[in-house]
Amino acid sequence: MLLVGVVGVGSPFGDDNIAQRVITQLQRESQHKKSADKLVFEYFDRPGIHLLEYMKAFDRVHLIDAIVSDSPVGTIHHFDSFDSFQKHKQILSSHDFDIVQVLKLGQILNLLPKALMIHGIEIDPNHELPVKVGQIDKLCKELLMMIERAI
Amino acid sequence: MNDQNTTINIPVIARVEGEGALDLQIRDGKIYQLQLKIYEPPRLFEKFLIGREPNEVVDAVARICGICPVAYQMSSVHAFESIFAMKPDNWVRQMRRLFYCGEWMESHGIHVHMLAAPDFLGYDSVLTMAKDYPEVVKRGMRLHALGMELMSLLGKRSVHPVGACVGGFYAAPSMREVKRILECFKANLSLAQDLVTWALSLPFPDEKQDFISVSLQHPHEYPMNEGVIVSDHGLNIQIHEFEQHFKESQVPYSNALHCRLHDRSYLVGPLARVNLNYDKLPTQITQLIEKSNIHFPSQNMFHSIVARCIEIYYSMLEAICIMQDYNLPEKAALSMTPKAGIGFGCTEAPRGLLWHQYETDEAGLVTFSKIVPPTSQNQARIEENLIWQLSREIPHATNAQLREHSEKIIRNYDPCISCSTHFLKIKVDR
Repeated sequence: MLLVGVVGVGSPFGDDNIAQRVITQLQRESQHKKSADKLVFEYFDRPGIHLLEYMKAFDRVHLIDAIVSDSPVGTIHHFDSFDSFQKHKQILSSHDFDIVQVLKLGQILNLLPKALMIHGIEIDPNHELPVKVGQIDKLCKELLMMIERAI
Repeated sequence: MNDQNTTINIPVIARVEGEGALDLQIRDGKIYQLQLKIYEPPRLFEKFLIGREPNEVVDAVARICGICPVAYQMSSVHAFESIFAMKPDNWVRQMRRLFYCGEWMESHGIHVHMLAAPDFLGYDSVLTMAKDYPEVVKRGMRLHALGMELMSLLGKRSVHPVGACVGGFYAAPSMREVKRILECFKANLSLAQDLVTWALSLPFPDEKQDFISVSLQHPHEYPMNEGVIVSDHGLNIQIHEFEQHFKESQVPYSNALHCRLHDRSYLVGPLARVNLNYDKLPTQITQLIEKSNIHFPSQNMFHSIVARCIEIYYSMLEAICIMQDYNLPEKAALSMTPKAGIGFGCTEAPRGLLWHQYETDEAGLVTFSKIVPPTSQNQARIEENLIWQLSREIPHATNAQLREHSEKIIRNYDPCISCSTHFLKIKVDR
């Protein structure tokens, strides 16, 4: 059976926890979907190398992270591969040892899943414009639709 | 070759935990001043633990460090248990060792493969090293992941675990889960053996420095949670006697305290532990070492990477022994009866001795706390090591080489500035 990992990354502080909030809601909303038995949800508070070990178990992984570019807060940027994610140099991960480095290491070691989608949710790094609850509902609907479509 | 008078500044030292800086001033071809600066503000943990209940403290101190939370939890639970006259049973004792095995594997695994190995193999980062040594990096990742499994088994999560409490653990792991992890450990044991063989074969600078090794020592086992504090210069004290021999002091250029033993710098951590406890290592490990050109006790600081790999292998062997004998306990924790008193806890964090002191009132609430982390203890030793090494290099090295070598020397100690506050930028003035 196809196994799909939906993995959020981000510290619990400020809007960097957006991935955690989204993962919690996605897990709840997906329970009654047809795809429920194919989906495994997980959340890590940092994009350490353990992420690569974790992703090895899945055919497809959807990685959700907070990012900072110049788009409005709450915008989702979808990337259908690590290469396409890397091309967007103007986007910065919100982490010091960022997800790009971890995924780059995974690419060098040939450890990335066959299918990897990265969903970057725009946040305000100064936490002056937090992502609102209503926006999270919308984000989750959009993400769930993309995840199911990919299956 | 450099000018005789130069200032070298390394504003951020890469591949260490946290942030700090190094200022090096060279006058007339000699080191005039060298300062390892930990400039991040104090984190004030010792103050905001006051008024807290013991188990709140156990959870709070885990947040001091994302890399070695188990060490902070273990030093604190032992301190509180000494105040409340609690003697946890053998099951708790063994689980605490198992918990510690996980942390040593996780922490050493990251440092050896991601931070230190590129220095020894001549790469600027693990990303470039991974292209030529993919299997070395993969092995490190696997061992690191196994360590995290143990931390999650007992801590319920690998980062900032919450499973430990005064008296033991909030819950016992299931037989099934322990069996699953035991099988993973058995299947991957050869990785740890290969790791030690690999570390022993690395190219090491031929050096011998004069330093004091300090660690815990236990009569029957390699030290993790218990023992007396010993040095290779004759120290042998109970943990409550720490402050009679070790003194912390403030230096004007750093926010982290320097700790000295009888006014001298000293080394804590894996190399110090192996130096002082070599006879407690199992023959599987000592036989490997004895086939090599490296011998312990060693005064070559670069052998620290070997010591870390030895401790990864030791942790795997120890974890397998403990899990093979695993049984569900009647109770995972002793109940706690708070009272007023003073207690001490001292355990071996991945980076070395971690000493805690707490005082409580009759309700068991903390009225005083003091934490001496390993990186504070190693700070003066790191500065001495830098002066020793750079003095030899200044006549013929460029500023860029001095910067690079300084970073390597510092990284070799695996400093965790998150604990001592944070770490490294280097400035050289020549």
